[in-house]
Amino acid sequence: MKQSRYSGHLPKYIGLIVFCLLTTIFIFLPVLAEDQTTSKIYISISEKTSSNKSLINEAGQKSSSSASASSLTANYSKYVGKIVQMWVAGTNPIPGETVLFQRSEDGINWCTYHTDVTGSDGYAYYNYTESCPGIVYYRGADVNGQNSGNTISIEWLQTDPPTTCVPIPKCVQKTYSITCIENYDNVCGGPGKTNCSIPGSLQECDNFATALNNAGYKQNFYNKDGDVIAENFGTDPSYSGNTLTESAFHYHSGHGADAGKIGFGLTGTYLLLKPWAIWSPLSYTVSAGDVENKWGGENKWVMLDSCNIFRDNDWGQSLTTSHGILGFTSDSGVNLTFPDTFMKYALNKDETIVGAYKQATLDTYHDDNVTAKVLVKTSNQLYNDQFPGHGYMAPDGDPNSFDIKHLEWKCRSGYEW
Amino acid sequence: MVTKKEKIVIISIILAIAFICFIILININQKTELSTSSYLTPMGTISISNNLPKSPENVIRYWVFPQENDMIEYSAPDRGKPQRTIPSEIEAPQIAQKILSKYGGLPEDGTFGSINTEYVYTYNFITRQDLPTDPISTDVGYIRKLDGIPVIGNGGFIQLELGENGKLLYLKKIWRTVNSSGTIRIIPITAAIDKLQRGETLSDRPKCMCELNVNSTHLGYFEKGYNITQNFLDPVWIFSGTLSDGDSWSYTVYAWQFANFTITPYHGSDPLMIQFNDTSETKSVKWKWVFGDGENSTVQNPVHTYHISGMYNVTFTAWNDLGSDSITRPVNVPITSISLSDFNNNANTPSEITPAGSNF
Repeated sequence: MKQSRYSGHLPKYIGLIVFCLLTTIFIFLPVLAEDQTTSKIYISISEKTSSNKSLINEAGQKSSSSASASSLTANYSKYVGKIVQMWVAGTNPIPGETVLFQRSEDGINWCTYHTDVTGSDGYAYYNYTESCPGIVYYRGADVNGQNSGNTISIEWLQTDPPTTCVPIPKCVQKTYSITCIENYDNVCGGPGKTNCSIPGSLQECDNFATALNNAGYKQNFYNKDGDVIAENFGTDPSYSGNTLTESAFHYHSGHGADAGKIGFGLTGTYLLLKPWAIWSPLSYTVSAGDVENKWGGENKWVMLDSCNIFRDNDWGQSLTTSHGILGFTSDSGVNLTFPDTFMKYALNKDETIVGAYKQATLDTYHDDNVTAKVLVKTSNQLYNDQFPGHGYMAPDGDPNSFDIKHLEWKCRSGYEW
Repeated sequence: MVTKKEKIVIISIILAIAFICFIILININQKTELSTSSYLTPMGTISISNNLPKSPENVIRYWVFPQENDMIEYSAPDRGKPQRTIPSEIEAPQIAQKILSKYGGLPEDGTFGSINTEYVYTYNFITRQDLPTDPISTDVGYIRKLDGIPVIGNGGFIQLELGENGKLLYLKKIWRTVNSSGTIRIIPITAAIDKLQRGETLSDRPKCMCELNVNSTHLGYFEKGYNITQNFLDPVWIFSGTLSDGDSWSYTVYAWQFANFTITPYHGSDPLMIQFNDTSETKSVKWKWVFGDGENSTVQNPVHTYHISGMYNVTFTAWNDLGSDSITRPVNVPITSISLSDFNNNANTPSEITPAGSNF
């Protein structure tokens, strides 16, 4: 019988083969496993000085990492008043990957301060000062605020003499509200002209609500048709019901009007509520003057999806600690895909809120004669704010400032009929 | 004291003025009626000129061949951020053409569309000064025309945003590969107006209480979007005009005349059952039959029983995913002269039961 020419040597090398296999398993497999956790993120906190002296350099990892979580939790005590720099880096940083820095004052309610691993070095930074004494918690998380990493806590101690306490801006929560009017079934356009409703408006609002709910946003209120009242827009500070100032983002859909086109010597632009009628053009409306210096509180951004509203820059006077308003100079139409398109750019692609709004309006209205516009309090908010509660949010503007910034663009690619 | 002669003169003058006013009012009214018609639609009141251009009967239908590069998109990190300078509206088209040459160039059926400069303005509520502060981009748009007819919807366009030193900040190009697949019939403009009156449009009403004065109508091809399956580019009518708030707006109405049907005598002599079959040129998803005797159906291929002889106008409406088309034909049903054996002997060419003037 013919025998394999190698069979006789096998027992001689079996020990070596087993050794090599075990070595491979115990040495290289953990490395390979670590490589697979490409979303591994570290957060460190250090004193930002000329030499970048490190006060704390401790890592917190996303819970999706295979590494042990508990061993990395750390607690420190430091004096307030130092500039704190948080940064993110990973063993395999992915440029463009979205990560979140989170901060909490109670270890339960977390606030997000920055996103995005930028550049090939995989670093993203956020600088600020903790000037108030107390325990503060820090961690990293994934794009949805889930899979949070380990917590680093620092007890900030008061200096002697005491440092002035300037609280970190209040956390922007993931909250929204909607006011939506479709049925203008009052005689709104004059005798014989009763078709004033906006077919599809409620569906468009529902699509916004669905997109926000799916992204983990909490709905504070959603008023429809006759339930939408001027007070929902914060016109009356003494009103105890629902107002847009309770939510980080507010969306409104309904008719808008340029009063100059209504006649009667009127000026400015108006949101028209359901009972509005042509013979009483100033009743059941909301104007820029009605909401002057009224938008702040929890609110950061408002979208007014109504025609002509931004022909009047005075709507910017509504902004106190709110950051901006998205809207239109021209007419706008119902578009059922707009909410998804906008939220896709704002949440999934991590555009700035203005960038997401611009791209969504270009995609949606590129063959219509639509001009979109944004009004904001500061340049930083215009260029850097991400969707409220989702990513970076610039500091509030000065409520006493009389300046606003605005930017508008034509959505049309070029059809001239 | 007014004399009798003076009274006659005054009355004559009053009567003459009244007569002139009456004539003027009649003329204005006639002129209005002749020039435009107003329609109360679900989108509000729409006025359309009665002097509409003659509608073509056929247009080319374009077959779509999906390709990997149907959509190209590029976005620079500093898009939307302030630039030191931006190209002028004179320089920008040349820069855009140069950039496009790296992306296959401007296609032969592409044409220049629009150019706009974007600046961030600072507005002061006290002084009312509104000053440009940060340049953002110069935006250049191109559109597509197939056989002179523009492509609308989510496709057939190129958008570029240019920053300092002509840097490309953003590019989006949706340009699908198409080829002629022959001609198809389109609905006349009058039928398109009927659809508009019913609110059957591919575009939606603006969020203003405005009336639209349509001042031009055009044909277009409708594109659903690069990521949506679409085998053909279908024709649409575009009604464009000015809203009462001064802005432009347009409504798009599906224009392919695709509905068709056949009838086959089915069973019986009195009453008579007829088989109606949807033979539309596209896959339809919804149907409505109005048999002309007060009965309707919403199935695709219904069997209908006529109890009384006579001429019936049968209207068939079919819907595909973009819109509807209707066809009405008179059908002569002489029940008493037909028997089941006649149909069985000559089922495909019934001698008496015929859709008058049809070409089945």
